Amino acid sequence: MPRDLGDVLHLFAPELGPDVDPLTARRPLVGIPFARPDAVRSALLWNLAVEASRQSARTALVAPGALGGAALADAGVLGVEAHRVEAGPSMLVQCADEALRRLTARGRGLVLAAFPAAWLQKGADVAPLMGWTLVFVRPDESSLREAAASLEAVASQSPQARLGVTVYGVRSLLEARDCFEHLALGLERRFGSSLTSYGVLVDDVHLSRSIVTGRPIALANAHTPAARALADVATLLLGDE
Amino acid sequence: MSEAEAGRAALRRALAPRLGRLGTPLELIAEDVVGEEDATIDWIAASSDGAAWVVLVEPLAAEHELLVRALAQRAWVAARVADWCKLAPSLSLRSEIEPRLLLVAREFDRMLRIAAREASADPIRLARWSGDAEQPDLELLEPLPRVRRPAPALPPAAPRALASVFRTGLTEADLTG
Repeated sequence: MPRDLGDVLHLFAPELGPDVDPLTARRPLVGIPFARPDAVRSALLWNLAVEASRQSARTALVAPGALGGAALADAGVLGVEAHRVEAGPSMLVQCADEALRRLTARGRGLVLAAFPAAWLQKGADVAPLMGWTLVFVRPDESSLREAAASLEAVASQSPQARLGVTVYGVRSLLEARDCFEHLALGLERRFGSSLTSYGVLVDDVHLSRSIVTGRPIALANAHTPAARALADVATLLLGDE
Repeated sequence: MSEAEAGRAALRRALAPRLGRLGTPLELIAEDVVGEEDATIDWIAASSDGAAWVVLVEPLAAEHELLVRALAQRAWVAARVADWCKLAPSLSLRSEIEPRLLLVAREFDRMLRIAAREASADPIRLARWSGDAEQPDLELLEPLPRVRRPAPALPPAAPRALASVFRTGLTEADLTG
């Protein structure tokens, strides 16, 4: 009698039961809090999803429509799933979970779930998105403050969470390092949590062009620093799955 | 005897009494000693502290090979001083003192002067002769000063020891280009 892979998978691989804590299980679901709608960050996120897909990970991008901007409306590039969720945290979490199950059932998958940072105050509602949190930060005071607030909110509610930072909008690696270390220092001192660095993204004319044209940098400008940066960050993320 | 040989002989004759006026009185105890590889040592001398001296003369500008020869001859002499002391106690040589080197030439280039300074703890003496070969002026060259290495920079203060490590595969050129 023919059987589905799902029927026999438990013989070969550990199975996540319903009682598995999503905060401590290593799931390739990355929660990305946005303090406010931001077209640049949305475009970076979309390009990152495309790059992850290009690196052979089935990738889904999940975000509230309000955050997504124009970039998130475009789906289908290199098989990236884009899901705009108009309802609240519960629906977004559900959508992200379903995407994760669907993608990982067929192999390597990655879900990038963007959500408003204000939702971090809602505790359990977005808890499944906190297990692996990635913050995009620019080296300016308000961005650093918002990033620190998001990271600290997660660290205080979920001490086991993986906390990561990707820096963008810098003029030098020194600036990027300073930015990262500034956040890491605060986190280590206040919560004893370490911060994982997920590289640097380049916010340049190629990014602007990708927003306007809807063509991802990895395809339109594959040999530019912006594309190299996306590849680097995607590699770091997929390497930590 | 060729003209060159004659000139060299005249120079050596004129140098012999002047060697002891270079700051260290020297007593010449042997001349034209056949040393390592049958090469000739112009003089073996002794200073008042009992050190043996190997003196080599080059009538022209010194080639770097002179230094090689001098080091080899010093080793040759060092191996024999103890025997010489037994055979001729009157020489008042002390075998426990490493023989010293004095090289005489018309000129020494900078490379050779640095090598002479660095070859051993006791710098090799270099004397430059000038003027007439039969009445040469002899000048002891001071060892070239060492260029002081800048003090190693102290490691930057580490006011914060982070467990978190910044990572990126980018280079500065990626951001500035």
